[in-house]
Parts: sequence; C-alpha cells; structure tokens
Amino acid sequence: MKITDLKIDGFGVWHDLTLRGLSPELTVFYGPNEAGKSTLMQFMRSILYGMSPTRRERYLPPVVGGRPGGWLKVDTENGPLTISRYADRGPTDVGKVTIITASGEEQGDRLLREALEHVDEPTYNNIFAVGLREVQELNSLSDTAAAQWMYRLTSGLDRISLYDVIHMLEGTRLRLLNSWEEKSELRSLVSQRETLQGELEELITKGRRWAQSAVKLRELAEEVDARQAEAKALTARARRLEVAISLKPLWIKRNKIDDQLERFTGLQHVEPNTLEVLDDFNKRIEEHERERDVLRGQRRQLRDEANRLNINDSLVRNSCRLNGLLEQTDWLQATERRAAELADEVKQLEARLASENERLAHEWTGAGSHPPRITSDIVEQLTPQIRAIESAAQLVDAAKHELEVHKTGESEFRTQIESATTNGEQMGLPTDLEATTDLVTKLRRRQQLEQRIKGTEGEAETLQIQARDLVEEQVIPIELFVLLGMFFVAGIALFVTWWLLPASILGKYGGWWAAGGIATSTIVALYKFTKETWATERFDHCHYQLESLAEKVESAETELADLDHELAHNGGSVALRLQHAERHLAELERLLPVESQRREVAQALGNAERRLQLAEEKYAAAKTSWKSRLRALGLPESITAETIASMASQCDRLAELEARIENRRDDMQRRQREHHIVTQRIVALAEETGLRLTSPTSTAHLAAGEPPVADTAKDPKKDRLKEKEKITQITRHASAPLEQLEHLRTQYHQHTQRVEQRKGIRERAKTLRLEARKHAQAAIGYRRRREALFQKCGVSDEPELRQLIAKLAEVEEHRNKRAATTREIIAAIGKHGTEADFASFLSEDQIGRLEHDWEALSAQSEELDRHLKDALQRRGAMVEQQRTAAADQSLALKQIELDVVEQQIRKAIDAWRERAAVSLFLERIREDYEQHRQPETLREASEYMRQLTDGKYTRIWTPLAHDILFVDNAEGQALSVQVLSRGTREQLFVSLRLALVAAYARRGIHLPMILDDVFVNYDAGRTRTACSVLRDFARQGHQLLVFTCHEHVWQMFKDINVDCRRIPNRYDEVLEHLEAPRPEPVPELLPEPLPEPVPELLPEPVMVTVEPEPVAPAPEPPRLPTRKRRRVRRKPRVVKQVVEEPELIIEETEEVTYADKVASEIEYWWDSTVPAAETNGHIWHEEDSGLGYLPEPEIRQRW
Amino acid sequence: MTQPLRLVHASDLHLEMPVYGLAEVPDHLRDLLVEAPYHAAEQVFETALAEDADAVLLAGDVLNVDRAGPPAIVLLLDQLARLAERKIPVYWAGGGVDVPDSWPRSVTLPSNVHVFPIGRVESLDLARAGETIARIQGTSCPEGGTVDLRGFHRDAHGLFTVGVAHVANTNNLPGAKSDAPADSVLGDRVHYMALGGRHLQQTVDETPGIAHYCGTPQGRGPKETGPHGCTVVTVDETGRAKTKFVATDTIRWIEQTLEVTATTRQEQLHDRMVERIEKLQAQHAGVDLFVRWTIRGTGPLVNRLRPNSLADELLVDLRRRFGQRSPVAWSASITCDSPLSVPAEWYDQETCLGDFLRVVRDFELHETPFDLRPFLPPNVRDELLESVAHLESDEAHKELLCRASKLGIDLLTLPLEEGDIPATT
Repeated sequence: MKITDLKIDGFGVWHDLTLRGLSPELTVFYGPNEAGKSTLMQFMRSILYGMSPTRRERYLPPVVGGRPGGWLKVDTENGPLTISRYADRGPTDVGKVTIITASGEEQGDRLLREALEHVDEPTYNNIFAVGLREVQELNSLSDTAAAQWMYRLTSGLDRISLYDVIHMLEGTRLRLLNSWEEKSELRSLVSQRETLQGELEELITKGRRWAQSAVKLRELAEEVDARQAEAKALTARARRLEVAISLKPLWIKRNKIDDQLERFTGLQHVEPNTLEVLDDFNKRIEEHERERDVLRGQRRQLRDEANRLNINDSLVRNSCRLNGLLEQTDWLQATERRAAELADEVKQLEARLASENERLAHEWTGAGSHPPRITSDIVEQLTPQIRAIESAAQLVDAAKHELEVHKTGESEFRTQIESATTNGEQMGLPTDLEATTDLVTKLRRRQQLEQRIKGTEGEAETLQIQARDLVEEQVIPIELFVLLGMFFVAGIALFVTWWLLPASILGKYGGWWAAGGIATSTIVALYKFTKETWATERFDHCHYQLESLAEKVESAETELADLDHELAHNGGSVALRLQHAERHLAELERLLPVESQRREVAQALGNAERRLQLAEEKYAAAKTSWKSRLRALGLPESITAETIASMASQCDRLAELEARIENRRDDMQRRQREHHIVTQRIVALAEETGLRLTSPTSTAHLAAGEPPVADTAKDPKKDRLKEKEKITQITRHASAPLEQLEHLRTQYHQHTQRVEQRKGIRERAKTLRLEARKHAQAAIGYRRRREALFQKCGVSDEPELRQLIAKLAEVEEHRNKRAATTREIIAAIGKHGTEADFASFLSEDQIGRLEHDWEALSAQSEELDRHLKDALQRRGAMVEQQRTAAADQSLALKQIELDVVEQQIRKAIDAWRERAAVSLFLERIREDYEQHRQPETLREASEYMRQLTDGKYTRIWTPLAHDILFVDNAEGQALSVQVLSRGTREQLFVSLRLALVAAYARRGIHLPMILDDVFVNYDAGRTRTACSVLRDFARQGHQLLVFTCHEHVWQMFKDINVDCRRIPNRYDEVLEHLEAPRPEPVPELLPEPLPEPVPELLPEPVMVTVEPEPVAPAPEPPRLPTRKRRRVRRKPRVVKQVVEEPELIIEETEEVTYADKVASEIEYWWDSTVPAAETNGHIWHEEDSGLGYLPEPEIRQRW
Repeated sequence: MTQPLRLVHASDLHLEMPVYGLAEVPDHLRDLLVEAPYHAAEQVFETALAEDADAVLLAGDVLNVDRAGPPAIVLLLDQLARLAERKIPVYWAGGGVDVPDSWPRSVTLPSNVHVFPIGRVESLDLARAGETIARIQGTSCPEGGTVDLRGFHRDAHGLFTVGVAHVANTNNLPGAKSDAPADSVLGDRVHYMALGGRHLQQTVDETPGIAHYCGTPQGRGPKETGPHGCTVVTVDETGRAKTKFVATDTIRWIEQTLEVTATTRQEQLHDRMVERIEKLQAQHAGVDLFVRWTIRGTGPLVNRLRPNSLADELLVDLRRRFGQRSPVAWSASITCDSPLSVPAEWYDQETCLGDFLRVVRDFELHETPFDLRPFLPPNVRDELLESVAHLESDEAHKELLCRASKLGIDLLTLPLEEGDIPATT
C-alpha cells in the first residue's frame, strides 16, 4: 500500500488541507516546530487505524473547525482506494471508514484491512514508524540496556517484542523463584511456612501444659472445698448458739402458759359455730310456715279463671286434617294457574304448526297446505347418490388444486430463468450457456494477452536500455582511442625508422625494435577491430531480440484487436466484464437443473388438466343418477343432494312440534282432575266442624261434585270446546274452596289460642301447690335438726347450751397465746434448724452456759477464715490463667495463616509453571526466528549499516545462544553495541529498522514507513549519507515519509532529488521575522541545473492545496501552464488564544505563466504582500523535479 | 413409649480445625473463620436442647485434643455440661483424631458422657423415667486403624437399637463386599447406624436399617459446599426412624458456574455475578457465604479470566460490594477451565502470536508432557522448590498447557498505547 493523496477536513490544527501526488518512494516534509508535522502523521494513522481515545483527546475536535476526519488515497494490489474516516458520531467515536474503489463502489473496512495486510497499529508503530522519541529513548538507556534494546529488534518483533516478553517472563519467574542466594517470593513463602509451623508446635505444647495445669487446679479446688466445709460447720454451730441465747425468754414464757391450760381439762367439746347454728334454725322455721299460707290463697284464684274460657273441641281435634289442607293452598293456586297457561300454550303451538305446514308446502311444492314428508328412510335410499355426487365434487376440487400448484411452479421456474437471462442481456452478455462459456474464455484469453504484452514491453524496455549502452560501447572512448593510436603510430614509426634508417638511432637492435613496433601496431589494430566487432555483434543480437519482441507484441496486439473485435470491446474494464461474465456463466450453470425441473412441472401440468376433465365428467353422471332417483321416489327434481338433509331435518322438526302439542294437552287435563279431588276434601271438613260457608256460587259448584273435564270425549274439536268452557268455570269459581279453607284456618287459630291459655293456668296452679308442700316439709325438718344439736352437745335445752359455750371460749384464748409464743420461737430460729435442735441448748442444765460457749467458737472461726482466704486467692490466680488460655485463639489464627501461606505457595507455583511453560513455547519460537529469520535480517541490516557508515562498519552479527549484537568494523574487529558511540548506535538502530521493514516486505507486507527526525543527532556527513541510503531504500519499492524540523536535512534531501515538501508555518509573523534577515534566497528555491534527466526519478505531479475545493493536478505539462494564484488573506483580529483560527479569505489573483520546465505546480498560495517575482519567500510545497525551480512566492500568514 | 424417641446425631466437629482454603484472608474475616466451627458445635448442642433430645450421638472426630488448644476443649466441656444439666446423655464413639486414650486425664468429662471403648462394641441402655427406651451400641476407632463392625447387633427383644461408630471408608471394613455395597453391612445389624467420618451428609443404606452419615456441622474447605449440620433422628411408636437435617453452619461454601459466549462482555459477566450473589444471599439468608466461581464457555473472556487479569478485577469488585457487610458474601476465587478460545485465523498469522499458537498446538498434539526443569534457577537447594518443575500427571500437563496458552495470549496481545515502547525488563 502506498499513500498518494490525502485531505484533512479537520484534525488538530489542520483544516481543509489537501496533499496530492505523494511520491511512491520518498517524500520529505519539512516544517519548524509546532508546524503540525506530528498532527499530519497522527492524521495518517487515524485514517488507517481509527481515532483512538488518546488521539481524540489531543486532536479532536478540530481547533479551527471542519468535520473531524478526512481521507487518504492509496495504491494497493486491489487498485487505487480512497479511504475516508470521519469521527463525528459522538465523543467516543473512532470514526466510520468508507472505502471507495476505482470503480466508484463504496465498501466497508475489509479492503482497508487487506490493504494494511492485517497489520495492527502496535505492529505498525513498532516496525514502520521510527520516531525521535525512540532515538531519545535509545540514548537515555545504559550501554547494556541499549545493547539489549538493539537485540530485541532482531529477535522477533511485531506487535510486541518477543525478546521483551521472554525477558519479562524470566524476570517474573525469578521474582517467584530464584537461586539460593537471591530473594524470591516462593522462598520467602516457604520460610514463612516453616516459621508458622514452628509457632504452631509451640502453641500445641502450650495447650498440653494447659491440660496438665488442670490437675493442680482440681487439687486446689478440693482443698478450698474442705476448708469451706469446715468453716461452714463452725459458722452453723456459732449461729445456733446465738439463736439459743435469743430464744431464752420466750422459752420461759411458754412454760407458764402450759401450766394455766391444765386447769380446764375434762370439758365437753363443742363446735365453734354451735351458737350461730342454733339461731339460724329458729329463724328458718318461722319463715317457711308463713310462705305456705300465702301459696294456698293463690291456687284458689286460678281455678276460677279457667272455668271462664269457651273452647270448640271438634275443631281442635281435626287440626291435623285442616293443616294438611292448608299446606295445599299454594299447590291449588299453582294448579289453577298452570292449567290456564297450558291451555294458552296449546293454542299457540297449534297455530304455529299450521303456519309451518303451509310455508314448507309452498317452498317445496309451490302450492298446498301440506308439504311432502321426507323421512329418514327416504334419505337413506338417496344416500348412495349423495355420496357419489360428493366424491365426484372432491375429485374436481383436487384436480383444480393440483392444476393450480403446477401452474404456479412452472411460472416460478420460468420467471427464474427469464430473470437470469434478462440480467445477462442487460449487461450485454449472451443468454446461451455455450456462448457465455465462449465469451469467458475469450475474455480470459484477452486478459492473458494484455499481461503478455505488458511483460514483453517491459523486456523490450530493458533491452532498449541495454541497446543504448551497447551503442556507446561500439564507439571506443576517445582516451582509449588516443592511447591505442599512440601505440599504433609508435609501432609504425619504429618500423619506418628502422626501414629508412636501419642503423641510426636504434643501433644493432633496430630490427628487433621494428619488429616490436609492427607487432604492437598489429595488436592494437586487432584489439580495436575485435572490440568493435564484439560490440556490434552484441548490439545486433540485442536489436534482433528487440525486433523479435516487437513482433511478439505486434502479434499479441493483433490477436488482441481480433479479440476486441469479436468481443465488441470498446474500452472499459475487461476484468470487470470478465467478472460479470464469469458470474453470469455461474448463474447459467446454476439454472441448468432449474430448466429440467421446469420441463418436469410442465409435463405434470398436462396430466393435471386431463385429470380435471375426467373428474368433471364423473360429476355430471352422478347428477343425472340423482334426478332419476328423485322421480322414482315421487319427489320434485328441484331437490338437490345438498338440500335433502336440510328438508329431512325440517320434517323432523314438524313431527316434534305435533308431539309437543299432544304432550301439553295431556298435562293440562291431569292438573284439572287433581284440583277437583282436593276441593271435595275441603267441603267435607267444613261440614264436620259446623263451619261451612253459605255463598250460592261456591255451593252450587262444590255441591255438583262432577269432574271438571270429560275424559271420554271422542271428537277432538268438541273436546276442545268443552275444555274451554270448563276452564272458564274454573276460573270464575276458583276462589270458593280457597275462601272456605281460609275461614276454617281463622277459626282454628282462635280456638288454639284459648286452649293454650287454659293450659298455662293449669300449670301455674300445679306449681303453687308443689311450693306450698315444700315450705311445710322444710319447717318440720328444721325443728328436728335443732333437737339433734342439743343431744350432740350433751345438754337438754337452749340455755344450758349457751353456758357451755362461754367456758370453751376462755380455754381457746390461752391456747392462742401459747401458739403465738411458739411462732416467735420458730421465727427466731429461722433457717437454723428446728425446736428440737435447740432443745438441748435450752434444757435446764445448759441454759446458763450459752454465752460462754459462743465466745469460744468465734475465736476458732476467725482462724479458719484466714486459711480459706489464702487458698481462694491461689485458686483464683490459676483460674484466671486457665481462662486466659481458654480465650486465646492464636492457635486457630496461626492455622489460618499457615493455610493462607500454603495457598499462596500453590498459587506461586502455578504462576511459576505458567510462566515457565510460556517461556518454553516462546524460546522455541525465538530459536526458530534466530535460525531462519534473524540471519537474513542481520545480513540486510549489515548492508544498510555499511552504507550509513561509509563502510566503516561492515557487519552486524550475533553469536549463537547469546542475546547480544556485535558490529564488525572495516578492520574486522568485532565490537559490542555497548562500546559504540551514540551516533553509531543510532545508525545501527536505523539499519535494523530498515532491515525489519525489508523483511516485512519480503513477506508481502508493503506499508509506508514514517521517519520522524531520526537524524537529529547526526552530523552533516552522516546525515547526507543517510539521505542517500533512504533514497536507495525507497527505490527498492518502499514508500518512505520523512518528517523533519531541520531545514538543512530537508535541503540535503532536496539535493538528492526527492519529493520534498514544506509544511506551512502557522505563525505567520514569527516566520517572517525569522525569514527576513536571510541574505540570499533559500537554496532549494534556486533553479539548479540537472546533470541528466532521470525519468524514473521524476516524481509524480504533486498538488497541495489548503483550499476547501481541491483542484485536479495537471498531467505533467512540458511548460508550466497558466496557473491560478489565489491570495489567501486573513482578517486581522485580536488573538486571544493561539489555537483560534482566523477566517480564511481566498481571492483570485493574477495569472502567471512560467516557461520553465517543471513537474509540479503550486495551486494555491498564501497571501502575499510582495509581488511573486520580487520575493523569495517560502513555498510551503513544491515538487523538486530537478529540471527547474519555481520562484518562491512570499507566504504571509496572519493569525 | 408414648413420646417418640429423639436423638441428635453429629460427627466430625473438628474443633481443632478452622475454616481453610482462602489464599488471602482480610482482617474482618479472620475471626469469622476461627469462630465458625465453634458456633456450629454450639448449634449442635443447642439443637439437642431445643428438640428435647433423649440422647446425643457423637460419631467421632469431635476434636483433636493435641491440636485443638484450650478454647476448643473448654467450649466442648461447657456444652457437655449444659446437656448434663438437662440430664441428656451423650454417646461418643472416638474417631481418627479423638481416640479415647488421647483425652487428657486431667480433664474430666461430665458424667452424662459415655465414651465407647476401642476394639469391642459396648451396649448401653437408654432410659427415660426409669424405663429403657432404646439400646445404644458403639465402639471407638483405634489409632490409625479401622472399626470392626461385627459386634453390632439388634436387641433380641426388639428394642430399638442404635449403633455409633466412626467409619471413614466403609469399603475397607471387614466383611464388606469389594464393590462398595459394604455400606449395607452397617444397616443390617442395627435399626439406626450413626456414622461419622464423612463431611458430607449421606444416607448409605435404608433397609433393613438406616446407615447415615450426618456430615460435619461446618464445611471447612472449598470442596465442602452447601449446608452442613447435624441430624435429628425421630423414632415413632412403631419403631420407624426418620431423619431430619438441621443446618448449623455459619459459613457456607458455594460453588457457582456461569457460562459465557463469544459475545458476552465483561460488564455482562459482572452483572450476572452480582445478580447471582444477590440470589444466593436471599437463598441462604443469615449465613456467610464463600463463593467459588467457575466460568465456562468460549470467547475472549475465557482467555482473560486468569489471575492478575480479569479474574482479579472481578474479585476485587465483588469483594468490595459484598465482602464488607454482614452477612458476608466473599468471592473466594474465579477460575476458568475452558480451553483457549481464539479465532481460527489467528493460527495462520505470520506474527509472534501466530507462532505461539502454532507451537501450543504442536505441544498439545505431540509433546505433552514437557520439561520445565531447564527454567529452574541454578542452586535452588530445596527439594520442595525443585519439585516445582515436576508435574505429576498428564492431566496436570494439559491443565498447565491450557493456562499457559491463555497467559501467552495475554502477554502477546497486550494493548499498547500508541507510541509506547515496551520496557526491556
């Protein structure tokens, strides 16, 4: 891929910048600092690889406006492409790529990837972009690091450096695991693990000691327990003594009460509440006798009240019958109502039946009131004919559907074939397969012929150059001719001298001299003749070959013309036509099976049509058979098979209607009979109870006793009339039985209430009698219980009993006093025991020594407390020690730490293994690289190094299995990179990078190489040499884009006739200030004589614009054509920030014609305040063809 | 027996062993890891009290006295004392780490604890209100040996019989068949065989008797996933035993697997992991979760899910979001065992990357296993460290090859910023 043109719509400081016709070999851009070189480089990368976030941040949005992005035109193997990319879809947009091919087709980024040979941006940066930054980096490294850095270039470098990765892995491995003397992660982890294991063992031992100390603790606890038990016993004894002392007065008091109680022994025991019981008995006897008398008077009053009621007993007895009839009241009403409804319904149904009969008869036969009845038997007899018609109709439908399917299929195939044929015809291609094959063959043949002609012309061109050289060889150079002539003349002169003056000057050897002279002349003459003859022969041979090639070309062109004639080729892309033809051929081949399928479908279509015809005939025969069968059954022929089923169902519905009328009539009669039976039962009950009503209508009807409907009626019409009359009567007299029934119900309700009233009076009288009897018996019972009480207490009457109770009260008072004293004693003892425990202390012989014994025990207790306190303190200390140990979680924490360390060891081991394995793989790759690719790269780099150093250094090499480069000098000394000077290292670096680019080119990857100020540290001589080397390198087919901010470097490139361009200085004033003092015009602007025209070095016409609308370049005119110069003037304005772009005004200026032969032109100029002819200002772009230079107009920029 | 017999079966308390398996333990998790086994053991005894159990069966590996330290011993004695207060007997069959002889003589167990002897099966009566309601048989495991189960037998009068033993590997038992159904030997002899020695709950036999491993109350390592606890055995009037699992763990290991595809983005994977953790927290409410992630599938994420790369990025974020609050959901690790996933055309590239892929493919096809010893630094002087270069099996080689290929891809496709010059280490 080679960049030919570019345009920046908006990127960084650039806006609307167009560069055209970049050299396919070497283009040098010069611009001072801040001129925008880096922006230009980054723009190219952005178009190729997208607007990365870093670039977006730095260069977007454009400082002076414009759509962010632009386009590049490149030459690729697929032809010229225009790659445009604009990033205006958002803040993170990397830019949408559009590729436009030479034919104007717009495609996606696939072609871009192919053009870049799938080289990604990091690889591009590492291989094809050489910058000042790398040079500075190289110079900032130590000698060893610089040597390693150089080596990495030769040991595998694309996106990354194999050497870097291998060394990084090695470093990581060593960080994980290193030798015994060095620190490493794994070693420190293992050490940490050992330390933790030791600490764990110590903690375990400590735990065992804890268990052992538990024994001591238990012994101590036992001692404490023993002493505590002893102290407790002493305390208890002392406490008892103390209590006994406090009990002493109470004990004496209780003994005195006991003496008084002994005087009342022998009294009869009486219950404490005897007196209350006696009073209660007396009171109750009096109350019961009074109640009995009151109840007897109330009973007499109730008996009189019952006799005043008057009750109908017959009605009360027949209450069950009456209730039964009353329950049927609703039924009677419903029966009457339902009978009337049924009569109405019968009437409606009869009318509907007549109407239906008339409608169907009219519909089916056209007249009459009764339609033909189509029964299921008739339908069954017609079933075979119906089925025959249905099956025939189905056959017809299936045949029609099949016919339709085949027609559609046939139509699709035909359309497919026609569309393919039409496509071909639209492109002027034959529709026949053989013709298309022939066309493809011819087109391919034509393409081969073109290639052959091109190849032959190339050979002819080479031979012509060779022939020109041979022409020159035919003529002996003048120096040689003079020399040979001198020898020839000298030889002849010697011979003539000897001939004329045999013994004059040459003496006796004159003959020999003459012979020598003759021989010399002869040899010289022979040499000249031989040389000329040989050159002539070679020239003739070359000429013959040229003629032969011309014949071949002619023959091929003739054949080409014939083919063009046959193909009717009138220009245009043959490849495109071939591509279309091949595609069309493939399409036709694909359609071959489609045609055969179409024929098959057409045949099937004919068969389907025949089947349809047969089915229709069959259907007609079935219809005929149907009509004859209808005639046979006496049915009208208008009946169809489809309607016969519907007619049969309608006849069925008529029969159903008749049955329904009959059903309703039977139901009505049954209800009338039931109503009559119930009416008779009501009359009988009224007469029996003497409550019959005397209304004349109801009586007449009810007394008749005849049934309401005559069941034996023969004539249906008469029956219906009678029924109507009866219904009318029933309706008229319907209320009679119901009124009688209501009267009976009212009477019965009144008598029922009276009976209930009498029953209540009887119940109350009975209750009063029972209560009076109870009160009498209770009074007698209480008298008997009072007598029993006297006997129980051993007395005869009530006064004697009251005297005994007074004595017993006095005894009880003494007993209470004793109990109180005892309670005080028990309370004083409290929890210290029982009375029995203190009885020994309070006995008569001991009660006087109590105080003395208490003092002795106190002294003994104090001694024991001292011993116990000491034991408790020792136990507390040990318990605290145990508790501390029990709360110590350090063992578990250490276990966790140990586990963590072991996990980390495992992770580190895994990490080391991963890195070792990757190193293993990468070492294998590096071995392969060093064996197969590095030697070639180094050999090539050696050549570049020799050229760059003018032969001072001749070879770059690396010893086997060593990661270091050596450089041999002209004396054959091998020098390591460390000892090279800074400048030589830079030369070595450039050599290696050039070799890398060449290596990529050998692999078919041709991408433009960018060099950004890589010669900044070179002296003038080295720079000049480097320029030549780069030019030669570019001539080998590599496109180089060199950027420099040093004018002398640019000048050197100009001196060797490469495409040099100047990037405009955007700071107009500064530029003027710097440029003004120059005493002379800038050398590159001066016309210089070209030694010889070198056509192949002539760069393509280049046109650079800073115009919104680029102007097409002129096609290499012999003279500079009329050129439009536009003045670009910027409005002066107050500049707040440097980045602000003033408005650009472009206006047409005068037209200038130059007679000089130039190969380029300047399309647009910056505003000039001085006439172009009088100034030698800087052009910011020019193409230096070596044939002449343009006067440089002044460029003025105002910001 | 009007009230059903109720037993609490626990084993493998391992009070000497904290939770392990984390490569890095932040300070706020340390106490959690230490206390988790203690809390779980307390929950076991709490369950016995709450369920009003008739007895507690400890089937071995309760604690290693030598390695447990005083806190564990004190905790156990306290809990046994609580049971003693409620007069709940404890039947303890020693296992591999708690051989009865190793119990310190200076530390006396409460009177309600019955430790079964080694070498013979002891039979004891379990009584309630003076009436024998079950027979408990048990034996302890000899140090470094196995338990002989031939002494277990059902009560001749039909009394419900319970066996307690620590049997880590039933297939090695005397009388066991060689093809694993040796488990059934246990169930033939007693009505309920309370087994210990396996950390995961498992019923190995159900007829005619139940042989059941209750598992450890607290999952210790990453492989002991899911809930852990003890088993409550209830025996009804008909002698039918039912087991009920009661979770006692406070830390729960969870294994989660996610699938990624070629189009899955990093943010999507992250969101799915967050969502999954939230679901897990809802599912295991009140329990601290330690989650191990396994990612499978294809696509570029598969290559980047490795240590010091995307896996660590995700771990950091998940730990920040869910690892600081209580209950914690700590993402322990993220692994991806899927093979390298790169476009097929990369193998054809004339670049270092293409070369690398081709070499890896050659190794996969022809040269596994490979030798890493040349990469060992000289003079290592440590057997362990020298063994770093030795891989035990072909599987290990293949696994390493997979991981190394991903690392290689990572290194060879480092995203270099424009203008960057790789450092020369």
